[in-house]
Amino acid sequence: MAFNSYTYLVFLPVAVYVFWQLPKSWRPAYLLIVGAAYYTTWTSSFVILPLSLAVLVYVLSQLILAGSKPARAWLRIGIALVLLNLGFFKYRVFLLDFLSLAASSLGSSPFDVTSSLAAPVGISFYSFACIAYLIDTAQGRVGKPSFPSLSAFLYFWPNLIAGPIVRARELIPQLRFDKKFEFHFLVGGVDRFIWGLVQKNVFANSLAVWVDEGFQPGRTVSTLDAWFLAVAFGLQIYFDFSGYTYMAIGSAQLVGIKLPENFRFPYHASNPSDFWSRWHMTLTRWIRDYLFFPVNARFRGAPVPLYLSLIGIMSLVGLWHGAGWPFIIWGALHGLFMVCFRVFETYHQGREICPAAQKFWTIFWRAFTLVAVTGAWVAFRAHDVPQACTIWKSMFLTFSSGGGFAPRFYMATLLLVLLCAGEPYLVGRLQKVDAAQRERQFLPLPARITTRFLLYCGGLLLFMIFSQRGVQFIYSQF
Amino acid sequence: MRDEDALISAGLIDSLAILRMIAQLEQQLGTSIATDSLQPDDFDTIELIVETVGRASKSSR
Repeated sequence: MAFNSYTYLVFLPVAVYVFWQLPKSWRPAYLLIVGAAYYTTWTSSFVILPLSLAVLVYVLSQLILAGSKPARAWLRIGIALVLLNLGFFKYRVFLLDFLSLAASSLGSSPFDVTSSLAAPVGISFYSFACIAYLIDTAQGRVGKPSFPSLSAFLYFWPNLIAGPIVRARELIPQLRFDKKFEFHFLVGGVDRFIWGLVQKNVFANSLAVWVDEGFQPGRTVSTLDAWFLAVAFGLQIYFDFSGYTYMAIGSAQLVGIKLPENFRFPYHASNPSDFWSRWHMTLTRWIRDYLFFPVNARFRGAPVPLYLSLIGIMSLVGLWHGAGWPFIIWGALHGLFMVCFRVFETYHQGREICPAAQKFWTIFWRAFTLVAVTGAWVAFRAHDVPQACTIWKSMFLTFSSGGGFAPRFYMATLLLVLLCAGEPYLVGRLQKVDAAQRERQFLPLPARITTRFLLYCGGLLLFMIFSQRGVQFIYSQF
Repeated sequence: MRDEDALISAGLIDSLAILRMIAQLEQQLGTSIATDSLQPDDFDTIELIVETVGRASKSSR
């Protein structure tokens, strides 16, 4: 049951209404049932998988806190088991395929690696939540675990399928549900949800039709089309994932829960590192806290280990997205872009730069980031490495003119580029004044209610018009 | 800037700047800071930096 489905539009208000009618003490158990029911609509065979992980993490957390064996040993066992589980479901075929290729290159006959067992939806997200929980327990950042709250944390439906990746210490305290209903939960949640629906169904899905056509295997594209396709996919994935996140945050807000933000105008990044502080921010935070910081703390940020770790960690980030070489290359490219920026930064550290040169480098790194991120999306979207190479060749090496798409594709892409370009200024202006205060200043109460009602109707109407293009959320596949 | 102002969560500095700061603090204070159980958020404000360094440092003088 995707957030942008008619079923969810019925499920959500019913689930939220019942939630607020229940006594506070019943709400955690109710949301656990709702979460399990929601997960069943995605993958009924694996509905107990998050529960099994909750049992594992609960037992290991108890052992870590009991101190019967060094906490570090239990922590390592716990992380290894969660990763083994993730590896079995998500990377088994990729690994066997790699081994089969290695065996055939050594003269042995390759073996059959086909499998009908698909990875459970959301496994990458809740596996990371489990690892974070174990590490935070070992570091004394979360209190004594309670099994019901841990299960409710892992089954909390708004972020179960594709994040945001929430820390236990920011969600579990909220799952006590000691808040009373407030009107802004409803208004804020519905605002978020409808805007997410529009981002996904109108912007992302419209581009998806052309992007899918352009990335069909065997299709050759001109330089112009290759660039437009890369830009269009960058916009599609942004509005797809940002739309999903808006709907997740909105759904949680309806039951009084605040989830962390995941995006902050990523295409306005000033350098490749800044891009990752604006794109999928909760994944970046996870990587920073549990991989980047511990690895580099040993070397106190010394250049060579830093550069190697950036490429290695970003390759793993690519692998986390999908079991395939194009994803690994996408991640490694981002690592390489960050290394380029860090080398530049280290070289210029402590040196005097004239204002003109400073301005030049600021513009240079902004432009570099946009071009590099756009180019890297090709690897993310391509079916395989040769296809990515063919498109890169069209983008950067050979120049051919002509457009093979309907004019609407180029117009839609350019309009969404403009929307992205103006987004921070629009949002910035709106945020200068508190939303409620802003409305009170301009409109009397009946007009405010009518305006909001019309906006919601408009959003839902757009959703219905564009709901024919049933394109799956990109990140729900990870 | 006040002692309780956020540094990392407000995007003023990144985790690499924290690592460089740890190296400088160790050099200037003559201490060794155990980073095994630390996260960047432990350095989010000046107040937290003082508390974290006090908790995690072992004198090497």
